[in-house]
Amino acid sequence: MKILATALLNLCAVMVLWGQGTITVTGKVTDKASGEPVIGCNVLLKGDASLGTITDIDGNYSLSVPADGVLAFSYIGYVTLEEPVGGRKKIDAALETDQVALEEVVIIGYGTVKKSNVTGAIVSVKAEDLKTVPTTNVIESLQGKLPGVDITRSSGGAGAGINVLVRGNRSLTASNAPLFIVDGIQYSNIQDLNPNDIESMEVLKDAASTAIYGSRGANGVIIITTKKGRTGKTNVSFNAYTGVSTLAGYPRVMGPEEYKAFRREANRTTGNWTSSADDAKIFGNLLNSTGTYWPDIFLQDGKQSDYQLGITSGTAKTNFYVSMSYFNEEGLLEKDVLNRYNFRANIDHKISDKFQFGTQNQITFYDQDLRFDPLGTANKLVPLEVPYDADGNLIPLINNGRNINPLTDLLENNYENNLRTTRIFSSAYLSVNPLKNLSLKSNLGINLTNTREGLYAGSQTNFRNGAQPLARYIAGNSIGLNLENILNYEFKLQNHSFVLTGVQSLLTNRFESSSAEGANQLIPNQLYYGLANANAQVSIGAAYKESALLSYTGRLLYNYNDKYLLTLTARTDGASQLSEGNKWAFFPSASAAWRVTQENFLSNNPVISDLKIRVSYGVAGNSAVEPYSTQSVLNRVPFAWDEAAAIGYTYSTRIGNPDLRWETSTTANAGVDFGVFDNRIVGTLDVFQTKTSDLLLQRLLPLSSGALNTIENVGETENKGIEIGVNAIAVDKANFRWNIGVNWFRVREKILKLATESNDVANGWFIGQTTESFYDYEKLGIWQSNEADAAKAFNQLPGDIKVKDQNGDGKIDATNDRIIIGSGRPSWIGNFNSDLKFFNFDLNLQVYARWGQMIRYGFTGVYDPQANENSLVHDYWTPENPTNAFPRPNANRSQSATLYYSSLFYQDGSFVKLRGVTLGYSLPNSLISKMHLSKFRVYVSGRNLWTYSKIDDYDPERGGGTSSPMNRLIVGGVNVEF
Amino acid sequence: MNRLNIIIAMAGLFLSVGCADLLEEENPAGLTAVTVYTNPAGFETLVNAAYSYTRAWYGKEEAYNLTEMGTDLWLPGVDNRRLDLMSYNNLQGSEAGLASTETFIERLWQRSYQAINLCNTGISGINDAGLTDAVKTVREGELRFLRAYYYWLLTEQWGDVHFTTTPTTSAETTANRTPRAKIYEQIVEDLNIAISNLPSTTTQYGRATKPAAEAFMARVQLTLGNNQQASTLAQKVISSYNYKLVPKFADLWSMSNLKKARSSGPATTPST
Repeated sequence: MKILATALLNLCAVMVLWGQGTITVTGKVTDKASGEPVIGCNVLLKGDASLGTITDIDGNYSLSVPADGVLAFSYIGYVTLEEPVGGRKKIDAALETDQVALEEVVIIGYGTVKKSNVTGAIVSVKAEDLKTVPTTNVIESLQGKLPGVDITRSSGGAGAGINVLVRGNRSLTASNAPLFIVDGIQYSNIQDLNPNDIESMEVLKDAASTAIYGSRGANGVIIITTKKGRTGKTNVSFNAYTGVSTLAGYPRVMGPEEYKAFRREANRTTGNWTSSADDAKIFGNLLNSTGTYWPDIFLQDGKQSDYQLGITSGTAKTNFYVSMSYFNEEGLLEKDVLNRYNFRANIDHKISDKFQFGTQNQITFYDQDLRFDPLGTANKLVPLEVPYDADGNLIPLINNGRNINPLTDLLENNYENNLRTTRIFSSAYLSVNPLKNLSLKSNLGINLTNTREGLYAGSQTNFRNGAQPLARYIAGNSIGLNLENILNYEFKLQNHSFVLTGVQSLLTNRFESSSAEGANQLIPNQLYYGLANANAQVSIGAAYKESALLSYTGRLLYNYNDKYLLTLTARTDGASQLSEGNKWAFFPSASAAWRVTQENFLSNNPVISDLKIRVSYGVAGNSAVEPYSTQSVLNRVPFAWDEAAAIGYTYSTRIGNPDLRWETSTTANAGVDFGVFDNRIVGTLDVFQTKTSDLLLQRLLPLSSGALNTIENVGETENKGIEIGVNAIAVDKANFRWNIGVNWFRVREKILKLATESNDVANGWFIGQTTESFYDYEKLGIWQSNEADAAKAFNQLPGDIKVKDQNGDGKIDATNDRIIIGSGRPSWIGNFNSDLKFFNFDLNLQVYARWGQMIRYGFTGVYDPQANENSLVHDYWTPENPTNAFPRPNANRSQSATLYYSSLFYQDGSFVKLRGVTLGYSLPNSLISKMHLSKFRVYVSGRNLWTYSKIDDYDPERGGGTSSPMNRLIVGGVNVEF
Repeated sequence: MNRLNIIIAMAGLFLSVGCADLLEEENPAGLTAVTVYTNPAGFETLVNAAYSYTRAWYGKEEAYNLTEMGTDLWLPGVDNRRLDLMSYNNLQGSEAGLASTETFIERLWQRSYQAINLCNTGISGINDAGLTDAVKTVREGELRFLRAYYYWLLTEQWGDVHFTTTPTTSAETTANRTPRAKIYEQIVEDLNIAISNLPSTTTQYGRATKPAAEAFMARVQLTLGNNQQASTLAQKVISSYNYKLVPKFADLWSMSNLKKARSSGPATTPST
């Protein structure tokens, strides 16, 4: 909205030069409806933008102008008012609100349309929505706000990634991640952006909306627009929060006494233990140890803070927005630290009434210390072992030298893994309006990334586990270039209006890296800078990767009287990764909408205030395979004739596919947008079906061919879904406003075809199932004591895992008795959002549910039936505890030798969580205006506060993993503007 | 303002990108068979790599896991964590074993066929590598020796297996099951060429030589039941070159006996 308003405003300032005698004019600018002063309003001499000023805090201005000039009063959201001076010395202006500008504008990719005229499935999120829950990653703040978009956190580590999926998985091997466009330029490092720098985000879901992005848009497009400068008074905003993160559930491992009982059971099974008289035999000198609860040594409270300062200002010709921010996160593990420094400068300048120039620049620098997750070891360490000896010194090797004490990683100069990333993301555009309704724009974006990874791990670290100390230094840089030429032509023929858009786009990426590694360096405290002193396992390397995409797009927007709307898009894309002759593909799409409320029969309906019906159909492509997938490349193998090193080159295990072509997705979408009771309740409903064919699959090949796999175009998938979003203003009073939002969606994925008629068990792909199936034996329980004979028929004993003999042939085999246990894809995702404003207080609350997905619960694997290592507190079988949960401990049988152990892992990963609660208080205007502020708000906010799931002490959002547990965050913050 | 000029300038900008060779892939960090195996120095790297797969049998645990563990030669220690390795059943691809995570079989199978594919590539492309005739003869002998050797490992371990002498150039999705006799025909043919092509000695320790090929052939003939041929060849290796049998079997494992002109045969063998 503001962007359009700025554009309108700029258009108003047409330059014609007048030269006359000058007089000083003063006056006051007010809002016509309320009579309130308009602060920061532009007062310009029409035709000479250099003569201008802005109104002060009381709406007053003073300006020297030619006596016969014309004054133009303009401000965002108001209709520009022109007043001839006519020799007057005092001119007051009362501005009318601009209804057109106030109507929400949606960015659709290379253009904008009014929200009411959107024909595709697009959701729009504005800056205010992003601020309610403070987050590290701007995408996370969208969680639950967008029907059809599945956003989950991948772990709880500092700076952990976010998984984004628009309308489910379509591709089995190629990427399913959506395309991110920041200010018109492709930019995938969305975590670099500070949420406070963002003006709006649009999510394009159906093929008709994404078609203008062609192949890149097959997985949905997220368009991010950063803040632009505003003409008028300088506005400074300061946003900060700081807080503590705590563990959001972590399952318990056995303590010393539980472990002792467990180990006795394991040895009792083998006849090695019958009574406490045998304790010495199985525990040795650990018998009287007080022991340690290992995970507690490592898990601590973390910290998170963010400070952001933004300044926006501008004159009639030049606007700018600059900001800087610093973000710091300390994870739940010591030495898991992320620092992010971020600088942004957005500048727009009007060269003349026909030429405009602008640039947006962002520099992001990360300094991150990565901790080698000690919890895996900590969970396994026998709890009778202790980390420190009687004198309080660290014991580096424990368990008779079998385990490295995970605390050794914290010793000075023993372990360091430091990652530094610098990204410069800059773009500049030049636009020309040779005619009033014709614009040409050239946009050049560059994305430079420099990374440096330095690792040093001493011998006694979790990473090296007793091997020689290792140092590694990897430097990488990548250059992404995006050049786009955009042509826009608008015209009207009576009630028919047309917008034609043509885009030519070139996108290139080049990545280079060098790496060096060596073991056994002399002095540890040189860390990876002492790599030159390493004398063993020295290895160096360099890598190069490039890809290019060349595209031509055309689009027609047709609008009949704001009643019937039609969008036609055609795009052709050429991708370098695909094979010669298959590089180019054509992606057409069409969408139409009917605004029923514009018809006479609904024009004054007391209930229905808005109704729009949309349909769309389109094709999108996916070429997201690694470069050089068409080539059979060679790999170097280490070799030597006796002591003389020699070079060997053999085939890579992946064989090239000279016929690689586009994966295409065809989506049909139908939707309704509605508003009732004067739009007190508004909502959207979409149904869609996507068919993806010629899937780019990594196909496993018979090993006898000498190759392991190849990338092929085989198979077909189908996604069907329904998405509902409803927003209601429950209470709308001057000092009490309550907004409720609910959204719900489900996507059904189905594999329709694979390379052959049969299922692909090796890859876990099954026809008729989702893209993420769990295929295994079906666990029935544990063989009980009274089932000894039945167990014997399967060569098993009471206490062993009982699985179902699916075909009833009296034996269990991998071919006939494994079935699809479940799917990792959720049945539905729902969100409830409540926004309450009561006098100066605001309260936001979000509940998020993801339901029906199965997860492979990693902690099931933390079970050592031999009791050589510690286990989780699992309910294990003993003759006295006839459980059906876990098998009998057995000192002679490892977990991997326990038949059908894998059948124990599958758990219902459904959850409902209180994702965020924020309570804020804004100082009243009367008070802050005395402090020369325009806003002062303090808040407390909690994230990931409470989770309901079927798994105890575990947050299943991250999907079953065991490292870097999820956290809960409580912060206090402040927003100040002046 | 000259509208025409602006339009022309913008059109020029548009056209500046319309270059189709932007989509040509360049891969300077990668190498392909076409660029490497077609010149003499590159072909040497193929032969070197073909040798490197012998490490899958001699340098790794897999071979003795597969052939010895699970027999009565091995006993588990007190707190053995991998007792499953002690059960022959788990290593030999039983139904339950297939569902387990053990990959010994898979890895040996895979590496043998990777090596064979490389040998096939070399043997069929040796005339295009620009080698001198003298070098070509020796390298072909080596590759034939190695191909015979890898097929021998496969067929001795698993019997009738997939067999081809054609290099894999694109994705192959099927395998054949060729009778052991047919595979032995090829082994014998390859070894005959190896015996006639290879020199008696080499300056690069580790390269296949004529006596090695003869000794291997003796072993193959013995397996085939051609005892007379086996005996003749074995005698020839012992008497015609500077080789002796070690007096004590255990001395074969003595580190001080490395690179001595004494051996019990060309290769330790799978305990079939």
